[in-house]
Amino acid sequence: MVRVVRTVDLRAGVELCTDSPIGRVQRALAGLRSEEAVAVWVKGYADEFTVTAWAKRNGYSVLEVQREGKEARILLGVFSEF
Amino acid sequence: MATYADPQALVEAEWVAQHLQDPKVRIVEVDYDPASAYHLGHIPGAVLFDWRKDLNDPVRRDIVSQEAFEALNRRAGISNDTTVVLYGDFRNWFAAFAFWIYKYYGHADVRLLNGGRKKWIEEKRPLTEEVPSYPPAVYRAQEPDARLRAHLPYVLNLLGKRGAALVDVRSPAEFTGEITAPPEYPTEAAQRGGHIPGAVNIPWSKALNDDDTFKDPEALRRIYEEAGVTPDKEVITYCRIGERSSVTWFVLRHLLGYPNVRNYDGSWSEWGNAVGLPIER
Repeated sequence: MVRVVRTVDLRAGVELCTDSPIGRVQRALAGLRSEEAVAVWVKGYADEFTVTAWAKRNGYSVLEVQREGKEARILLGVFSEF
Repeated sequence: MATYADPQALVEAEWVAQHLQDPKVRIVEVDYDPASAYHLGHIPGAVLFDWRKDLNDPVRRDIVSQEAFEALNRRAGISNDTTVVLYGDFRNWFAAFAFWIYKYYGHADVRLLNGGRKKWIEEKRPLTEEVPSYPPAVYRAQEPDARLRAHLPYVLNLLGKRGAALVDVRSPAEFTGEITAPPEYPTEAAQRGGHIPGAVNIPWSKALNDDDTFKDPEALRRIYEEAGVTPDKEVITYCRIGERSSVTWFVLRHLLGYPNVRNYDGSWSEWGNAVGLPIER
């Protein structure tokens, strides 16, 4: 059982004058422990693809994807073999 | 329904899907952050242009030189008669910047993918992680078309002149000086916040629909004309480093057909750092 310790909401259609969506996810994941998770809200398949593909490629686990209409809540955790 | 002034400058995803094997067409993904875009999956056959490394001079602050641009195209197997289709991350900002550079160096047939990377993926079209390789081509860039680009002295000279329109395409918070540049982009910082005197604030994103495609010509015309940005004026677009303003430059020049539009790529990261220049907030 993991505990959601941080949430990143990317649904707002970011203006991107400040920060990239993946940059925000990356910072939220920093220092994550094995029993912890980060929840990422996205809108649309493109952002879901980007977040999950980036997470897998960078050594994180996609624990769960819950879809509600066009939105999805992605749970990311640290990769563990056990 | 009205059409865009230069309809060839924009292609739809379906057109690209039908030309994936066309040897006369080269698809180029232009990314600011390839690690969160191209390397996760890209349009089959697309080559990568890394905006920072490939489209900027490696030493001085400037766009890629004519010689380096020629070499870049040769490596990508692009010749002068290739149809180049651009798309990329960050809602096509950097693809639009590349489009502007292609026009600056006189490439005949360059097009922007409407909706960019996001729409392609949203439609669940094919993606691959395979990096293609093409035989080197012969490419000769034209002399730069100076009519498409504004340097700081040119902008300064236009201040207060009738018949000129400065379009600041940044967010309202940047326009008013509340934000200069975020810590994540240290090379884009400015000593002062605000905008160039006389500029109107029309954020670049007003030209786009929710799916990142461009709005229709009538809607686009209303957005700019209601703000006093009309085709009879000499128009200069700017943002922070010249990439968002490339989107608006593309809209005004190629979708609406304004005859005289320049992109000021020095933008706020130059103006807001220069000593003694006038600033409004």
